[in-house]
Amino acid sequence: MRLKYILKRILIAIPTFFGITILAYFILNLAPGSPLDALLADPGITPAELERKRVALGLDQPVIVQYFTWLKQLLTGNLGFSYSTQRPVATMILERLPATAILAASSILLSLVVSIPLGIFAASKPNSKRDYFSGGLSMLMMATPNFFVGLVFIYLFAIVFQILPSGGMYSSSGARTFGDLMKHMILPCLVLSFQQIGGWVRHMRSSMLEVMQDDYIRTAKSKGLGKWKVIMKHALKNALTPVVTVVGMSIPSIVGGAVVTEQVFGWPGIGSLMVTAINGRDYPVIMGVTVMIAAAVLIANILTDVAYGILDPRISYK
Amino acid sequence: MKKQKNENVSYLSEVLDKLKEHKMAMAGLVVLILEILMVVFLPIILNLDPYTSDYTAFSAVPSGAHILGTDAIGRDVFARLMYGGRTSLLVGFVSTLISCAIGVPLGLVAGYARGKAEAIIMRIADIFMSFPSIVLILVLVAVLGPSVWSVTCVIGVLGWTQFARLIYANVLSVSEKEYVESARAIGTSNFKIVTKYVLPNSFAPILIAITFQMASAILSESSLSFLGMGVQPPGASWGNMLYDAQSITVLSQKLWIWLPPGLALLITVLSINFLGDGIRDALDPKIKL
Repeated sequence: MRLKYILKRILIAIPTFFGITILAYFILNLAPGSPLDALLADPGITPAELERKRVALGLDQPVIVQYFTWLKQLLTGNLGFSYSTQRPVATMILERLPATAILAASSILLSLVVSIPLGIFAASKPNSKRDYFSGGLSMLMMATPNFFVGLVFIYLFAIVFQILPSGGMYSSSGARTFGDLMKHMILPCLVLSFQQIGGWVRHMRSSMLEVMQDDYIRTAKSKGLGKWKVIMKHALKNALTPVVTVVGMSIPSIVGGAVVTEQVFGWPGIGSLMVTAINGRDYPVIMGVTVMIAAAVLIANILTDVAYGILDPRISYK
Repeated sequence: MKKQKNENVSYLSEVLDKLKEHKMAMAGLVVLILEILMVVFLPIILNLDPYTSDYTAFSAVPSGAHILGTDAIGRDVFARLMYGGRTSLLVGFVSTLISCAIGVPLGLVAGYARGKAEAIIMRIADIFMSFPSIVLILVLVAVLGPSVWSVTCVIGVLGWTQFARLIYANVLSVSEKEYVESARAIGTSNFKIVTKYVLPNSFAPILIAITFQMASAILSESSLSFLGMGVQPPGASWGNMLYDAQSITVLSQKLWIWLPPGLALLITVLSINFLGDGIRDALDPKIKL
C-alpha cells in the first residue's frame, strides 16, 4: 500500500518537472539576443559561416524542436556550456551545489530547533504574554526582508563587534577547517532562517492548540498528568505531523531566500551563480540552475510526502 | 429585499467592530495611512527633488539642509525615501490588482466548474507554487528588461496562485451551500450564480489574499531592486536604495543611506501583515494561511 502511495507521488512530480522546464525554456526563448551574438562581435565572421553555426546549434529549427533537442541532452546529463566561461553548466552547478545544500540544510535545522519550542511555548498558554511575545516575534521575522536583516547583521557582527566574518565561505588565508566554515555560516544561516521561523512558529502553535482539544489529551489530563507532561508525552508527537508538510511546502521559499542571502554574504552557492548568470544574460546557466532547482524542490516534496505518510499511517492518497 | 440589505450592513459593521478591537491591526492601518499620506503629499509640500545632485554635499551626514543626508552622488536621501516609497507602494498595489484579476476568475472557475477546468488550473497552480517565485521573477524580469513596469507586471502575473488557491477552496465550500443549490434548482444560470452568490461570499478570502499578496509583492520588488534587477536608477525604490549598501564603506560608515529605506520596508510589511491578520480574525477566524 505504502509503495503504491510513494509511486503515485513520483508519477505526479514528473509532469510538474516537465511543466517547469517547458515554462522556463519558452520564457528564455522570448529573451532578446541569441548565442550567436558573441560571434557577431567578431569582425572577421562571414554570413555563410554564421549560418553554418546557426544550423550547427540547431537555431534554425522551430522552438518546439529545439526544446526536445535540449531535453534529450538534459536527460543524458548535458546541460550545455556557459556563454561567459565556456565551461560545462553541469560542472559549474555541481561545484556550487554543496555550498547551497549545507546552507539550506542547516537553516532548516535551525528553524526547526527554534520554532518548535517557541510554538509549544506560545500554545501552552493561549492569549497570554508569552503567546503575544512569540506571535509578535514571528510577525516581525516574517516582515523583515532577508537582505536587510543580512546587512544589519553584517553591520553589527562583522563591523561593530568584529566577531564574525562579513561574507564568503572560508577565510582567504588559512586552512579550510570545519570550524572556519561554521563561523562563516552563522550569519547567512540565521538570515535565511528568519522567514521560516516566523511562519513555522505560527503553524506549530495552531497545530498544538488543535491537538490539545483532542479526546486523548482530555483523558491524559483527567488522569492527573501535569500540563507539561501531557504536552511533551501526548500532544507533541501528533502536533508535529502537520509541521512536516509545512517544512516541505517551505522548500521553494528557502531556495528563493538562498538566492538573495547568498548574494548578500558572497556565499559561493547556486543562488549567487544564478544572480551572476542573470546579470550576464548567461542563458544556458540560467536554464541549468532552473532545472536543478525544480528537480531539487520536487524531490524534497516527494520526501516530505513519504515522511508524512510514515508519520501518519491514516493518510492515503486521495 | 430591504431586510437583506440591513443584514449586510450589520454584518459589515460587526466585522468593522471586530477589526477595531484588534489593536495591532488598527496600529498597522494608522501607520499605513500615515505612510501613504507622507509619500503622496510631502514631496509636493516640501518640493522634494530626488534626482538632482547637490555638488557641495556628497555622502553628507544628516544636517539641516538634508535631514537624512545625501547619497554617494549627492542626492537627498529623504527625498529618495519619499519617492522610493511611492514606487514601492505603487508596485505592491498595482501588482496585487493584477494577481487578483487573474487569480480570482481562475479560482472561481476551478472551484465552480470542477472537472477538467479544475484539474488543469489547479495543476498549473501547483507547478507555479512548487518553484521559488523569486527565481522565476528574476528570470522573467531579466528577459523583459528591468523597469518599474516589467517588475510590476511580472510580480503581478506570478502572484495569481495565492488568489486562485484561496478562492478555489472557498468556492468548493460555498458551492455546497443550500442557497446555491436552490438557485440552481430554480434554473438560475451558472454565470448569475457565480457573480451573485459565489463571488460575494468569497469576499473574505479575497480581502485576506490581497493583504498577504501586497506584503509579499513589496518584499519581492525590494529584493529584485536590491539585486539590481528591479527599479533602475535614477528612479528610486526602497530596494534599490539598499543596493548601495552592498559596498562595505557605505554599509559601515554611511548608515543614513541604507537604514531608513530598510526600516521603511520593515514597518510597511509589518503593518500590512498585522492589518491582514486583523481582517482575517474579524472576517473568519477559521481561515488559515
